[in-house]
Amino acid sequence: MADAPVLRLDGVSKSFGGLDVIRNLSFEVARGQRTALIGPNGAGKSTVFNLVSGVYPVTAGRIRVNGQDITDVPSRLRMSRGVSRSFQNIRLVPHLSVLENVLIGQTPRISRLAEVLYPVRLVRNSHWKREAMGALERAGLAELAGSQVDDLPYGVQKQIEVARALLGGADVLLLDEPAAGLNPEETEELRERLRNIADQGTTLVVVEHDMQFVGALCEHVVVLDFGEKIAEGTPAEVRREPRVIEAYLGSDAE
Amino acid sequence: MSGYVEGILVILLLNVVFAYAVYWPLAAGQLNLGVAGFVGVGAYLSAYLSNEYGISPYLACIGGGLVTFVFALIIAVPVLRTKGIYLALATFALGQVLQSLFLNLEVVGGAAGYPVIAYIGLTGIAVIAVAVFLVTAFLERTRFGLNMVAVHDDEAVSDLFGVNVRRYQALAFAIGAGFAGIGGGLYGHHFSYIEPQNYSILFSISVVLFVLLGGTQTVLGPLLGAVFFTLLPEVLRGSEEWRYAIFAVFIIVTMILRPQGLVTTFELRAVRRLFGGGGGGGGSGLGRRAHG
Repeated sequence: MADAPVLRLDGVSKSFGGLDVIRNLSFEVARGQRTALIGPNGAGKSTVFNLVSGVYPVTAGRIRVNGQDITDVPSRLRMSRGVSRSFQNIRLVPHLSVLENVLIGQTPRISRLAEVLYPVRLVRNSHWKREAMGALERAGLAELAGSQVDDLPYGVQKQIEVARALLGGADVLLLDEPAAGLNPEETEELRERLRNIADQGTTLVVVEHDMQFVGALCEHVVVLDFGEKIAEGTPAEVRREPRVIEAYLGSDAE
Repeated sequence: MSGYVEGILVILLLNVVFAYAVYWPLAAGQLNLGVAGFVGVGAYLSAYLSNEYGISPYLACIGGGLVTFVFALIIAVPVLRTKGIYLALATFALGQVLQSLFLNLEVVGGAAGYPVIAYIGLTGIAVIAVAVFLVTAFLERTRFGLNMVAVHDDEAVSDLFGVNVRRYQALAFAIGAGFAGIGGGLYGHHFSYIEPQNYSILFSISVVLFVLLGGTQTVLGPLLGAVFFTLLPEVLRGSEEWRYAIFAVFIIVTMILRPQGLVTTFELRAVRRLFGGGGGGGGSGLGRRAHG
């Protein structure tokens, strides 16, 4: 399966009632690639993430991860099939510490009863905790391990979400507006961090409005408008595409 | 030990067991108002087992608890389809149904009540109450407990991270019911007599009340709630008939000033710091908070 794309959508459609939110969408993400999914508000970007992570079922089409069809796999099992994600609004567990939130990220790899009943919050230096601490260290958050997450700044919480999402052992990480609400310094840090993550072999798919961020991070861009793919290519290529310019700025003819 | 002190201690320990019966569902975000029904199931089952088959009262209590656990696991399938206030109503109704079932079961005496022959004293109750607390405290520190907090706070995210949300909710409900069943068995075998009137909604509500009073963020909250709820009326005994009025005022004031309960994560963390713990590897963040 080494040559199969990490993520592949074939003719995916989604309607809510009579409203077609995604129409016949197909694209591929190659292993190790940094891909952006962009488009005006309401283009259906977050819906694509929700379809891939299984929050909603598709109306038509197939979704494959590492060549395996996951279209009918329940959302609960998709992370162990290789897809992990973060959320547009931060979705950390507010009443757990930072470290415990990152421990939640290991859950997709837990299957045996002995692991479920392992007192992970009691044993001080377990391999689970060491792994989670390692993830926090790489994110530069080690000293916050014991803090309660809802006391922390927004940018830090976003970083914790990424660290948590990575520990599930997924091949492809879907990030929904990772740079939203971050100051320029934090954005810069995040971009460096995501580059490192991609260099270590995790494929990234990013929904993002900040085009500068997209241009600096991603090598491949898929542009959506009203649920349809209107362009695909490198950031420079899609920026020249007349339909993209039209979607973002409106057409001259009006 | 005087008979008075021993009597109070028994009530206190039974209340601790009942407190954890209510705590488990609350930890998964469920308000169970039918706990009295499960207490009754355990009480009648264990009494029947020890009366009719002559098995050890301790085994009968544990067996009664296990059967109540399995019964609740089955009941959880339809009951947990409801959420929030509707779940509270469904469990309330379940409690009522169970109570009227006891009332009509002639094999265990129906309305006349059911005498229990075998006896369990203070020591036996104490050992089992401590075991219930330790099992809860241990489970809360496992990955099972960690995932339970996640299920309580955010079902959608728990699901995406591979937690079987329904299974966790059903298990929390059933573990609570199992403890309720054990407590019911202990009660029957100590007081030597059980009757359907014992298992009313009033009983369920007072247990929920003192668990919320103690706080559901940490595993110590229900323990503290049970202690307060049992001992305060005794301390106020000097004021005769006014003691329940004073007690009620105390509860209302606590709910206004500390809706999160008497003991929370914050206090536990402060205590740990005092003893030099809390650092290294983020051992803090002990326990959980309830949104009510």
